Amino acid sequence: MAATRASIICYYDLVSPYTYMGFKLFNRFRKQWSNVDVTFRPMLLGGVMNEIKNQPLFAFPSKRSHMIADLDRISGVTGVPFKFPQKFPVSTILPMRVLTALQIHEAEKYEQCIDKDEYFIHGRDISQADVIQQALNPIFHSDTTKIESYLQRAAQDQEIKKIFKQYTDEAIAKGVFGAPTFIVRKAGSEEEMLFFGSDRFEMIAATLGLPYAGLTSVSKL
Amino acid sequence: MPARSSIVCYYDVVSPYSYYGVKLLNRYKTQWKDVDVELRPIFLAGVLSGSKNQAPANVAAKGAYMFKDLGRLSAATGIPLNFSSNFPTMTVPASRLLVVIQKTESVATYEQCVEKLFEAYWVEDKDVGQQEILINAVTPILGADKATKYMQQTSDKEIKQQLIDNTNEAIEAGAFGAPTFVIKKAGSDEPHLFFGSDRFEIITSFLGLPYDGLALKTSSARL
Repeated sequence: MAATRASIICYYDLVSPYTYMGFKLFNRFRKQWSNVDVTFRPMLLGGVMNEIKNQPLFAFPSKRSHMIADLDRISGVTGVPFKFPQKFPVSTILPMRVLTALQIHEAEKYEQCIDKDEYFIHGRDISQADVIQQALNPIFHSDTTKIESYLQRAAQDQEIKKIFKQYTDEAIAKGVFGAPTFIVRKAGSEEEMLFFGSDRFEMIAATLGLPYAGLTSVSKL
Repeated sequence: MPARSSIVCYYDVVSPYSYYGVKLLNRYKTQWKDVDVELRPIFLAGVLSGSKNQAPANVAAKGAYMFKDLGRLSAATGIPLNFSSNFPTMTVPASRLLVVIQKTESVATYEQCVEKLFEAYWVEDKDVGQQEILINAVTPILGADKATKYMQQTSDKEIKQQLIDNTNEAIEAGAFGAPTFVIKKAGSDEPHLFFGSDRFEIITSFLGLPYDGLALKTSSARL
């Protein structure tokens, strides 16, 4: 049965610079978007790439240079801070599995946890358990035991591994080839429309009949 | 140092996103002051191989996405597109013809011809890899004599070299696809490369110009 509200699923991976920017921008724009159900779904971008035989941007020197210049300019226009990390890329399997566990067990804190600026502002290596621990500390009010348990589950729990893999397979089945990808459904419609990139918000807004504030207004949202 | 900003748009008729890049650029620039715009033809396959990149359609999921994305872009901008049944086609003759026209005709006439060839391919679904089609496309603008003469000139060494030079220039600037915009702010010699038909909001902010959005404005008057 088709949902009565519009919905947007954002497939994301923490490794992706455009996903960082897309996530930040999306959260600003959606302040003006009512009656839209939003879900952030973790996926392993590397897994998607391997399966469909795509290659990441940074494999191509000109594309990599453009990406950094492009994101610096977008940062300048929108006011969203951005600093390309020295260590790039890193493996994000561990933090993505942690987020998978948090999505299930810590629904209210989940989005805050995605939003931590460890990698693309502070340049910290989010593949490392101690960096993840430090990042989640303020959100969990220094409950290090709890965070440690999620880290352990992320590393060992077969159920979490299975769910994360399922999300990745689901993304591939839907035609996802990169991150961020937004799967958009109009209110009352079954049709899933795929929008790729952090640069399709004007189009998504037009498709859903929602206001688009524009990139130069982002800092005011 | 130039007092005006400049935009060089590197394009290839074979590229659907170049079609939108050029159409949108030509739409927006009528409202811009003090911006020099030049459309420069390139051989996209040359740029792809020179930058060791691949065309998006090489990955099935990207190709499928491109159809959907272009369809929505068409609806959002009011710029029609009928995906070519001859995609991809060899657009070297078309690009060389546009080099000849750019060298010989006024900017306005050249730009008309650029749009005409894009429309022949992306609206009228004609195979612009064929000389007869190219001649017929530009005849209403240039007349049959010039159209035929210019088509013959596409085998001139100088014309072939110009297309190669444009292509190499794009690669050296950092291009890896089309459309690519190389932009200089007024008073600065520093080039800035922007890729894609979806960077106009950033480009206009960069140049201190207003962004008009994707939707076709029904009123042409601007206060």
